[in-house]
Amino acid sequence: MTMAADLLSCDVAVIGAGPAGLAAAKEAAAAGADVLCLDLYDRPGGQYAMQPGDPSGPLAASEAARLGRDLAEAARAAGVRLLSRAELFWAAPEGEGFLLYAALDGGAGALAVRARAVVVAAGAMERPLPFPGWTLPGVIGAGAAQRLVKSGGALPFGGKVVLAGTGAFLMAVASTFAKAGRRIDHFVERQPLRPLSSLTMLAPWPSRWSAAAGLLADLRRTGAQQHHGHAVTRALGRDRLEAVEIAPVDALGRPDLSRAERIGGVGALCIGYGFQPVIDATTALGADHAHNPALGGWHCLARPDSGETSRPGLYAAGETCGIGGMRPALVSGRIAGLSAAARVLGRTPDPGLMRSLAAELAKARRFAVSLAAHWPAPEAPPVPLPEAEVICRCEDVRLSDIRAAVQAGAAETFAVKMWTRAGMGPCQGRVCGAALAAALAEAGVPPGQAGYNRAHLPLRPVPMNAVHAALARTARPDTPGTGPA
Amino acid sequence: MSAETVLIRLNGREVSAPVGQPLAQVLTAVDPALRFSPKDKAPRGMFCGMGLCFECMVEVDGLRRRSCLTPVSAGMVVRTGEGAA
Ligand SMILES: Cc1cc2nc3c(=O)[nH]c(=O)nc-3n(C[C@H](O)[C@H](O)[C@H](O)COP(=O)(O)OP(=O)(O)OC[C@H]3O[C@@H](n4cnc5c(N)ncnc54)[C@H](O)[C@@H]3O)c2cc1C
Ligand code: FES
Repeated sequence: MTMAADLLSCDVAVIGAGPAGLAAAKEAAAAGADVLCLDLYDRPGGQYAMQPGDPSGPLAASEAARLGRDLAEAARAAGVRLLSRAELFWAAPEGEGFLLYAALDGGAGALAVRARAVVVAAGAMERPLPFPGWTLPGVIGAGAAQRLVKSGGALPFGGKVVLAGTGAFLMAVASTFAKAGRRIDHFVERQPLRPLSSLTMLAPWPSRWSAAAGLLADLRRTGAQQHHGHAVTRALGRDRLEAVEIAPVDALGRPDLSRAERIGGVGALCIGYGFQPVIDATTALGADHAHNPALGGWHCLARPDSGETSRPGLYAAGETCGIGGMRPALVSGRIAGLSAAARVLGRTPDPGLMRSLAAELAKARRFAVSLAAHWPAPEAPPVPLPEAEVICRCEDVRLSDIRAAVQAGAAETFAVKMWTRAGMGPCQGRVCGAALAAALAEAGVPPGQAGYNRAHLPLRPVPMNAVHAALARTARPDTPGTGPA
Repeated sequence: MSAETVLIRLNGREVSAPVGQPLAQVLTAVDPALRFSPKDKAPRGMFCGMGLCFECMVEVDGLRRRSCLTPVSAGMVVRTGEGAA
């Protein structure tokens, strides 16, 4: 089937319509640039500010939903062209500017964009850590559960709901359940209850006290039985999840399997061990990245006072530059949008404004850092894995395959991929990346040295006719050091 | 939910579903196994819920789609069970 693609041009293209992307797009347009903002989802908002499926339901009135609506409205009013259901699948430099390629409506259409500057605000995704049974239908990310509830409905699995993992985000998910009037049966947090250190952590941030108290109250409202200092050690079932095993963990986070207990009749295990930045677009464009566990691992490096990456004209904002949540996302988005507009319009951004925004960003990031220190995301799977456990879900690669490759000398993520196919499937290593890094770390290769999965065309599994249609609108794009796999 | 309910065709059978809801939500309620893994042929269901893991791939009107990102619309023809042995 042949397809015709549109070709658009703009001064500034923004990838992502979450808090960071919308803030960037609005600032750039208000400064006088012609701005196009692309987002994969049906409606702008991204994750935190996702718009609920039911516009008259209880979640529509939440602060988060309101933020998303306000940001999108402000962006539109400033003249931003907001394009939903548009997924970037490749990007390449062209002279001083950039070529971007997107699939429309899941591949039913295609688009090429010529932009003079680009802001990538692609957000974060969960950082999945495997455990025995994690591939069973019914095991989903904690964020997936939150999105399902926001989309408007009960979790569709039947049976009990178990919310597990670690971090402030688990409480945010519980809060969404409570606000939507949905129950949770068990809440399993790896950290023990630490009222004193929680108070110490929050003491310097009075503006967050009421939100923290609200989260605790919401967790109680879900009706969940709470298991602090426990971790999920196994998901059990034949063709779908049926039961979950949990065990107490010691001070080092190791579960005591001899004290494991079983929760039966479970339909959904919603599990989250933290987030990782989405960096496929910035790696495809060849920007510099660095590894820092406190920021979710590999993240794009951007100057805090301008948002510019190592590639001139390419800016990054929000979670793509390291996990920090909504507030740093908003401020870094404004910074990147102002800088990108200034570049294409040949101006210098107001130095006083940029200084104060940079200070605001530093403050917002400080809170994020103290939260991350309070709930450190585990680097390695929380339970010892059996050799036969599947690590790469796309290609059914087992832990034994990966260990064999590492033993035979594969000393970086890319080599393991070539050897075992782990990370070669449609998810391009987004799901198995953390587990691969852990397997390499176990063999003595630190994550910073193991590297990240290199982006290849298409970044997302888009139908080939859409890929061809979009690429055919421009001269063949350069592929900086990556190229089709 | 107050959303209007429509009919979709799921593996040859008519199923009613709220319009606009993520298709994965409707399919999972029928059977959480949406497809089978390529080598082991193990059942798989939605996982990330945000369009990045591709575990929820199904066929919708002849196009492979992520069901977590596809809103229900009237008359869509859906096939699950890709990769079955
Ligand atoms: C599932 C999930 C739920 C979360 N819930 C909360 C919460 O309840 N509370 C909280 O404080 N924080 C939450 N977070 C953390 C969240 O990352 C931040 O709070 C905030 O949303 C970050 O803003 P952002 O603009 O950087 O990214 P996001 O809000 O994630 O926005 C990024 C946007 O980029 C789009 N995008 C990415 N790649 C492409 C592409 N190739 N083409 C087109 N579009 C693309 C995405 O579709 C998304 O809309 C959640 C994160 C996740 C992953
Ligand atoms: S559940 Fe991961 S892409 Fe749909």
